[in-house]
Amino acid sequence: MQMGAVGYALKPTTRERLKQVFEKLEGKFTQAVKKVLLVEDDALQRESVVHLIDDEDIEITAVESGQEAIDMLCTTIFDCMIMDLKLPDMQGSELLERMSREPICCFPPVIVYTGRNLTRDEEQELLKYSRTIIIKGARSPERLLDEVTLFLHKVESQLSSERQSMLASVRSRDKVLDGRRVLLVDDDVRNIFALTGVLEQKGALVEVARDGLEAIAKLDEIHDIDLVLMDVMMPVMDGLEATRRIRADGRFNKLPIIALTAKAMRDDQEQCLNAGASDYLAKPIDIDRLYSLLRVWMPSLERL
Amino acid sequence: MNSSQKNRSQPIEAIVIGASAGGVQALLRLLQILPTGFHLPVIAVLHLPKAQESHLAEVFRLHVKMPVSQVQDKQRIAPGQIYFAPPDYHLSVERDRSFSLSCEEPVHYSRPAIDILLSSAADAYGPALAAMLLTGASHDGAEGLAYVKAAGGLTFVQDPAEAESATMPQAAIDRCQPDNVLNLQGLQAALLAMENH
Amino acid sequence: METGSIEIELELLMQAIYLKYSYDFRNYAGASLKRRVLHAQQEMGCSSISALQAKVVHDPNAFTALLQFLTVPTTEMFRDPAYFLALREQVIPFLKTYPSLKIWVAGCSTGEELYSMAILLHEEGLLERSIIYATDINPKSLELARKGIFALERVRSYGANYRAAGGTGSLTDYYTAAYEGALFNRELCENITFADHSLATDSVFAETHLVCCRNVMIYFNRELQERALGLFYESLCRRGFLGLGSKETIEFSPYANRFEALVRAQRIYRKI
Repeated sequence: MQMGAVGYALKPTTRERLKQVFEKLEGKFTQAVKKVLLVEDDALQRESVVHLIDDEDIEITAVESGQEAIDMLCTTIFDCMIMDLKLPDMQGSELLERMSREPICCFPPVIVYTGRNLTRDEEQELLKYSRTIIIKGARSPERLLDEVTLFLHKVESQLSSERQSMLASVRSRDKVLDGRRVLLVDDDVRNIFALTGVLEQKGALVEVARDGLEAIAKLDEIHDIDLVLMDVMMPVMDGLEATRRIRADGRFNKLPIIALTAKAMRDDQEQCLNAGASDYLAKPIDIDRLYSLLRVWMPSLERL
Repeated sequence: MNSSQKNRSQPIEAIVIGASAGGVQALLRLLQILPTGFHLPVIAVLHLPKAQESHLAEVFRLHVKMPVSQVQDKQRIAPGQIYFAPPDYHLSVERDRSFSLSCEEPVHYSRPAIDILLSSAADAYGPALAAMLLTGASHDGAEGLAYVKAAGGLTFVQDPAEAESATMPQAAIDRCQPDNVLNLQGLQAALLAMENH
Repeated sequence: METGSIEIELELLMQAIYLKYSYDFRNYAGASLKRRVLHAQQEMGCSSISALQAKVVHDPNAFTALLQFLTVPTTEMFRDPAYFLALREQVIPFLKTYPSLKIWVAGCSTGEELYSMAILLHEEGLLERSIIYATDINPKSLELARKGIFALERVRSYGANYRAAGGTGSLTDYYTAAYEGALFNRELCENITFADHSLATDSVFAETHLVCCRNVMIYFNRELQERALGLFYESLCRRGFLGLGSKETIEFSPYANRFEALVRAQRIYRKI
């Protein structure tokens, strides 16, 4: 277990039990009420899902179309999204793609909850943007409840397991990275997807922000971030500006920030360093080079 | 009678028993005599049709005082327990005194085979082992008993005259001249005496 | 107990095999390993285990021959039908919620268990979306499994098992009889990947939803069992399923509390 032994889960058959387990693992409470977005056009289905996952600390927003979903996502940050593929105004895959392009507040973990079988290609497409896919059936409510509860409690080490099928399979924990928290700032969901997998494979815990502004908010919210990987080209606030602001804040002088830049010219790299980045890495990212940099910059373990 | 037993300095640490036709009744009579606190492990292989074998532990539990169980793979041998081999697996004793199961070919048409239990137990316990063969219609067990004897263990065979089926005990007698040939009453007394060593 | 000469020879033989051929039998359960080596020694005409070792080290063919004695091929289709029935009734419904499935049959031997699994998945409409990894250390067994030809008499005898396992058709639907053999339908194999893989030395190669390893680990000592369980744990996705043999258990291992018993009587566990 990545976070050290805090006790093993006993058979958690009830929602309360599950919550207790995750709270213990998490060690802290982030926000009181979790927001879930449900995108489902069939009224009966909608009702049954709401009924299934409803709880006192969960606020469910149910919408019937892709456009409504996008509208909601533009104004609200959701902790989790459950999505049917068959929507009146667009396919589920189209909705996901639009979410990755449009100025939504935050791209939540998405659970695809669909009644139809998928081809392997469809599945791969959907997995670019979603965390997990559940096919409706006799046991799917149980699974849906399980996955939703998991996402709402943000147990990152467990979320990574779906990713591993996309990556090289042998797990290898790197002592330097194991259990360390990395903030990954990038607006391209596919990069986030790939890098998260790469980092989690080495045992690191990954926080994600979609732009510079969100990155600063995350640093405020989460107190034990060990290192930041900052993409330079982002909307809203780019990486250099975000780095400058972070450095201007007295709290983060020692925080390693590695700029991920698509540009390879020396001037550009100097710009990163001048903005306050500790180091830089050119895209396309060489994984080994990334690991080396992380090992160099990861602060030594003081708190353990 | 128990002449070999009187001269032994080696205390017995485990008892292995094999039987086939008529074995359930014979074994029941034998084990019923053991008190709850009898502290040696007793490990038994009975040849029975597969369906009956799976209920052996339950049946014996109703009639004997010692705790009875069916072996699980890699289970450690604990004192004061009666163990039965599960149906259709060979039961072996490992040198670290735990059980292991296997699905190798039947021996003398039997799986579990008494030979396998006895010889593996002899490897694990050496002179600290007591092995008994009761009534049975097969030759299974004779080799195993010979092996136990060669390893210094104490060997017993039910008197063929008394046994429901004389084949198994007789084959063992012919093969290796066991230390003791006794009727069930004698075997009972021998068992009880083992603990007092 | 003092280590006897035979035990020493056995240890040396396993070490020699490991050094020469990279097959690791050093942590197999001692009693059955000893029996099979002694049997091989006799069948291969060697006067002692040391003589067997000399033969094997210098002749790869001799090693291949020995390997056939060291791996135990006892297997039947739908063995312990209650296990397959429990899979069908309690595991399959969960597997149906995944768009695609990866299933690992570890220690597939000559393939009887593998084809049983393929038939079960087919009848439940899941074979098409599944990739089945069939692994074993014995290349000959893998070859036989790939071919899918079994003795006709034996296959006929498996009909009862098939029905007790909840089979929805007839076992004869799945094979064609030719001479003394039953050839299983090639469609069953389309999604099966056969691979040489050792639970003693190799690593996890895929994320799986179901791992079946039945009556394989009984031949391992505790240490090796633990290693194998570790591989299964790592391979399985969250809430993935593990199926063991009818008298095998995870209870004596450090993994006991990382799985919950879904159907304890049939040794079906679920990763927590």
